Amino acid sequence: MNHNTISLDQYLEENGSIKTKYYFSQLILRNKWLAIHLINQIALDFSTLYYIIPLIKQSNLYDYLNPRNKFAITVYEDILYNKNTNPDLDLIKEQNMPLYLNVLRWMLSSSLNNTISDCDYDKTMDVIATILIKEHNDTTILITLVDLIFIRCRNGSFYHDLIWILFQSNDTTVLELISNHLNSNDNREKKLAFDLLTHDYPRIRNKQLDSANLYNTFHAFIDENKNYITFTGESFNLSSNPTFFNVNLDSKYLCKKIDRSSTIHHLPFTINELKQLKDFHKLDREKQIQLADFSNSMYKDNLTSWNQWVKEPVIQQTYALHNSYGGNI
Amino acid sequence: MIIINGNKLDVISFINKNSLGKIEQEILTILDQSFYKSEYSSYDELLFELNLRKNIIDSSYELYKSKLNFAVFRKAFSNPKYWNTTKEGGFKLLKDVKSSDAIRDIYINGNLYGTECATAMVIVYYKALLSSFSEDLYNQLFQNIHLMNWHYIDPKLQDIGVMSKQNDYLPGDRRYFKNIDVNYKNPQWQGENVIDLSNDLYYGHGIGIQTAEEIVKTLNKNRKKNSTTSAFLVDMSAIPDFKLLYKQSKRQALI
Repeated sequence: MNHNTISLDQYLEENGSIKTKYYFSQLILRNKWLAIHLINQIALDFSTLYYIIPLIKQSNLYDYLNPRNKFAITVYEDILYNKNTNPDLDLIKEQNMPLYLNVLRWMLSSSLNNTISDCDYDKTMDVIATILIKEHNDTTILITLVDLIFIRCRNGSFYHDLIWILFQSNDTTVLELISNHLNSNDNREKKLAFDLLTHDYPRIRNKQLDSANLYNTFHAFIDENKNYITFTGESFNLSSNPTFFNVNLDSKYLCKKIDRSSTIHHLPFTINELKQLKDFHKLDREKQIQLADFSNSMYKDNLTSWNQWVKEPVIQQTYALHNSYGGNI
Repeated sequence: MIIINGNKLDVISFINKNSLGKIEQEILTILDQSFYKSEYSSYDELLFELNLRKNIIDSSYELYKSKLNFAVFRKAFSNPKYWNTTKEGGFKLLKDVKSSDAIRDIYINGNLYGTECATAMVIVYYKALLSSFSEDLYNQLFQNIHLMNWHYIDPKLQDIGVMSKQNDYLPGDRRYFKNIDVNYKNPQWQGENVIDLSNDLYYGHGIGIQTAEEIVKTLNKNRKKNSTTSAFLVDMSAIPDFKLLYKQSKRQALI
């Protein structure tokens, strides 16, 4: 092999997809083994492989591919042809789950390196992201997923399904990752980040896109509430202004962290806590928010005081809240 | 209870005086028997809402018959004589084209168009408004439209994108069937936007005109393997701001 032969990734970057397909088709005829070697290079990007899948199939090169590439093509075709059952894929998963997951991650990561504008490719990325998050709770891909959403936003491509998948992760890290884009110089990115994070919680409800210190405000809000945030399952399919998350006021008031592995979100409330919540629920929502905020703040500052305060009747708790504002609420 | 300018409405007389049809009568009955008050500034305002709801329902039936294709956003398509299909999969009205002509074209040449359920709802609303206003006024109010689910909706119509719990649900409301355990390969089945047609019938683009039970069955066929969580009708609806649109309807179209 000629050590000066450039990689297929580099060739694609320099020459585009049409020339790459032609180059590869000629390479198969002139030097089949070199072609195989180039496809099987460790550093190959899936987006490059994607362009030459038809050539691989036509030239009967599939059997010469390394396991990674074979798995990737099998996954891609499974998604593309919408197969309900796929014995080949089931076998792969059964025999080597870690490899299967790594291949999916490799395929997804390629979406950041390339500007492929192709329905089937984008759909493949969306489905892979869904599989990794919904079936395997893989949070290692969240950064990639958030970046991909904002890349598509900038490119004017469809991203609504990806947003739905992102919040299905049930992980508050996504809110922090999204908030980073509030500092973007690209107005579309900034607006999308703002739309995803906007909420009717008092501290952020009146913020506008051009408000000062937007990033700091949202970041502080997320940091303060991340233990109590639950995700609603709403999407852009349902609504023009979906509320993607909520702050669970019961949990925040009692400073009981949300358990994301559980469908009921938190450890069961004790009988005393349930009694407390009964009175807490009699307050209007704004008062509940104030009391929950106050409780959380006290919990962080002085646990001893909080342990005493949280057992007091709610009406007395509100006096403490009132006094903390100098009587001005 | 229905209140017109501070007075309780005599529904029977109102129906007889205005020769109202079955849909309008059903709406009035629900509102009249409701525990909650529905208030209107005038009989005319109430008639406007009834008429617009009827037009929403009629437009739904017409769109169903139009042969409009179902297509996910990535594969959406439209008649290039009137629309530009954007990269996102939306339809943007071309310059120098009348909004009324473009909306009508979807109904006349539905086979030249393909989109998903939410955008179909927006098409229904614009057509209903076209039927409710004079053409000149409609074109003046909705001259630059962009059809892409609940994005880019004209501000006068933006409430149709906002779902909330209502006191009562009425024919002409937008509803939503949610499919929590959707098959990942087909996220377009994560839910179905529908128009309530009355008599437990709903129009959803891609599914057609069906009962709630039939829609749930269809969505359930598109769940992930071994799922036992059924799709369901969400306890919320979205409605246009009828009062705002009524005020708009009173404007004179500029010559």
